[in-house]
Amino acid sequence: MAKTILVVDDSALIRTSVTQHLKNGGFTVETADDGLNALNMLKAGLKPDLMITDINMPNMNGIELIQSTRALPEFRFMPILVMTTESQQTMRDEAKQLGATGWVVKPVGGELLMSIIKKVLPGA
Amino acid sequence: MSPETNVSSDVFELPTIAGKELWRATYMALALFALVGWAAMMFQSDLDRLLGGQRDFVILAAAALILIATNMSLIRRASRRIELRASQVQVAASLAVRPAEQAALMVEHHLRLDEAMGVQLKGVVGDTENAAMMLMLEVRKLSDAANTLMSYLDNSNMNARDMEHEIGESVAFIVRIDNFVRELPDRIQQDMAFMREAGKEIDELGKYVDVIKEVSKKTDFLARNVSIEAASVGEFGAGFVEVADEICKLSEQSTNAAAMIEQSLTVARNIRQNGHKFNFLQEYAQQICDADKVVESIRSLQESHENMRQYYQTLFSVVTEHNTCLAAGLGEILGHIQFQDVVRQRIERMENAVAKRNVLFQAFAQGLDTPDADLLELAEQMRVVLDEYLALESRHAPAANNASEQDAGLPQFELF
Repeated sequence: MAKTILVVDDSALIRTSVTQHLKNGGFTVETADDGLNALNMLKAGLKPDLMITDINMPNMNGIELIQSTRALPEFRFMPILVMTTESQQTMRDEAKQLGATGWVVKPVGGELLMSIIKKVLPGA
Repeated sequence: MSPETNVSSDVFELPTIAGKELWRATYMALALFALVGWAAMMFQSDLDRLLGGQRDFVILAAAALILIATNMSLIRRASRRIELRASQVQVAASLAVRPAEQAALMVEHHLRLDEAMGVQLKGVVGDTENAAMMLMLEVRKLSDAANTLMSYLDNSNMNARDMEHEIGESVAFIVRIDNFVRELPDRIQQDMAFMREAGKEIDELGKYVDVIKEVSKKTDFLARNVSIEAASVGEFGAGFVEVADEICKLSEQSTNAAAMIEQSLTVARNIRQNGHKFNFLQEYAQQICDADKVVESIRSLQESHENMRQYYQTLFSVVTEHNTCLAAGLGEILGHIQFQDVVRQRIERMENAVAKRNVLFQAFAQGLDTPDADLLELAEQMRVVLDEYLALESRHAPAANNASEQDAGLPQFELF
């Protein structure tokens, strides 16, 4: 059964691009345009195998989303990948401290994204 | 010295100018009065002779007239100088106000220019986003088509393998038949050799039949003679007559059996002769030759199929490789299109910084008309805006040019 990935980004362009990459890789993809919508989707019963989130988003940013997601018991161990244009070490450290699994700087090509996913989701 | 300082000095100088002119007029009047007095004393006799008792009045009148005329002249002159200075002050004052107005006007135009450029920038962002989205959709179609083609090629490859397997099985079956057909002549040869051996045996049996016939004939002859001899001795030979009759019967049965055996042997010989006459081997040889041709054709067909399969397999491999490259390239294009979002974010950060700068510009322009405005504080705030903007930019990628030393060289991907 195909694994499900939740993509959270306020840019429709990024959502479309990443979705295409992931579908080409055989994944089922769900999308949200900000952190709050993503969190609501998780609370509504969506059980993704991996979440990829941007940092700078309206309503709820990526850092807050990671924090809120980790507070939900069923998502304590779900891999969370941050995909952003931010590259600062302090931001990376903050995301790491809150429970992010990895950090990738946009833009991301298909090959790189797939290699990252394989590392984060072994057997995918 | 600034225009503002000039204006201030001119304004403060105006009362001084007015005072100086009045004092000067007074000194001049006193000097003229003294001059008139001195002249009256010097020319007292002449004046007495000319003016008589009116002398003092005339002198005083003349002195008064001179004094008044001089004062009026001096006052007019002072007034003109004051007017001139006042106009200079006005000009200086107007010059002092103009930079603020000009600055305000400049800022106003600058803001309008910024606004117009901001609208255009938003348009550019929108246009690039739309274009990128369209590109994305087109690339997605191509990517889907590439995936469909990959799937088709995979299916075709699998079908070709299945077909190859089936053909292989059919060829193996036909090869088994071919082997059987090839072995058939040997088997026929063996059968014919066996038949020849059987024919020899039959011929041998024929000899035995002749022997049996001869034995039977002689036995019959002997039995008849015994019967004649026995009959000649009367009752004593009656037993021998019966034995001789039985022997005659046995001889007859032997003769009949030999005849039947001979008949069967004749039939067997005929069959053998007919077998030789049909010449099975020649007919089989033709069929074997035909079978060989069929097998050869099938082998040739198998080789052709193998060549064709290899050709298509190569073709599939090449097409698959190209298609894989195409899919990978499309994937990378999808990645590169993400730069539009990076550009959008950079423009947004610039717009935010420009908006903050414009607020400070407006405050600065207004401050030029306000005596107690702290323009240095505004300049400090402008520096803060710049620092914040640069700090914000340094946090974002691609930030190779403006990243801090700590953030430079950080990997694009990092697992925690």
